[in-house]
This record gives sequence, C-alpha cells and structure tokens, in this order.
Amino acid sequence: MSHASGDRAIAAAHSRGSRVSAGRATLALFAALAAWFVPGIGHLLLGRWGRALVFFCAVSGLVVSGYLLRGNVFAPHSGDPFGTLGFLADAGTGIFYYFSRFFEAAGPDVSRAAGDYGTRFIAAAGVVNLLAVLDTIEIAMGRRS
Amino acid sequence: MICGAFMLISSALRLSHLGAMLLFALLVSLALASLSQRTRAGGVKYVLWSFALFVLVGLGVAWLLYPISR
Repeated sequence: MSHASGDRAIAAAHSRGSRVSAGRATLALFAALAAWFVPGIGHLLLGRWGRALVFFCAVSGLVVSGYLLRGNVFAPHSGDPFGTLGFLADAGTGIFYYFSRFFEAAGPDVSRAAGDYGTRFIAAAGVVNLLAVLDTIEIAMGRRS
Repeated sequence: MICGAFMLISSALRLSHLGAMLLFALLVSLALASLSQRTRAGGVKYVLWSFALFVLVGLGVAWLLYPISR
C-alpha cells in the first residue's frame, strides 16, 4: 500500500469515528433531556429497563412522599443563595416540579418537622434524578456498560 | 378529582418520623445501588448495607441529640 492510500484510509477512519462520536453525543443529549424531564425515561431509551424502573420508583416515591409531608418547593427567583440551591435541587425532579402546585394545593407546612422532612425528600429526589441523568450520559457515550 | 384523591391519600398515609426515615433510606439506597453496581448480586448487597447504615447512623445521631432536644 502506498503512503497516499494509507493516508486516505486513516482519514476515512477518522471521519467515520467523528460521525459515530457525533451520533453518540446527540443520543446522549436527547437521553439526558428525557431523563431529566421524566425520571427513568433516559435509561428506558437506552434499553436499561431495570434501571429505568428503579429510578422512576425512587424519584417518584421520594417526591410524592415529600408532597404528602407538605414539604417546601423552592421558587426560581427566591433572591437567596440557599433558595437558589433548593430550586436547582427541586428542578432536578423534572416533570414532578411542575406537579407541585397541583399536588400541594394546601401549600407547604414547614412549621411541623414532617414538612421539613418533606422539603429534604423533594430535594433528595432532584439530586437522585440528576445523578441518573449523568449515568444516562455515561451510558449513551459508551463509557459505562 | 385527582387532587381530591391525593388529599385523601395524604390524610390516610400519615408517616411517622421513623417511617419517613425508613422510606428515605430504602429509596435512596435503591437509587445509589443502581448507580454504582452493575451486577444483581452486588446491587442487593449494596442496598442491604446502605439501608442498614442509613438506619443505624440515623438512630445513632438521634440518640446523641436526645439530651439537648428538651
């Protein structure tokens, strides 16, 4: 094989590689957005049924228990750094964040310990879902089995 | 109607502090096991260990804080 044909073969392999990695990146982005919006859907799209079920049950169980305990759901513009952190954690629950006003019609009640626990449950659900989003990206990029 | 059903469930399901801790420990242990373990056997072992440690540490901290709680 001449040097020119060898160079062409290497260039073609690089081109194929960059197309594959671009495809993987698109899949990872799509799966990550889906995983954030509905817990477990990202893993479901990647064919990880068991893990999808575990994440959906864990996140929905935590967030619904948090609502039942009348935990506080942080608004986007609280004007306070802890409130902003709380909002970021709560927003991690995806679609459940938008259900909060519907399910907590009576509003939060943090005057009791149960309401305070509920606030932690909702924040923990968001953090667990964000970890699931990162796991989805790793799987989609082929870095994890 | 769904909101009413949810309120009904909410009033029926009154979690005690211990019940809330057990539920939290179980759900978080399941999620962490799913993230960190790739085999079923490893996952089950991780859930059991994580759940037990959550509960033991929770009870330990509760007893440590008991003298200053009243």
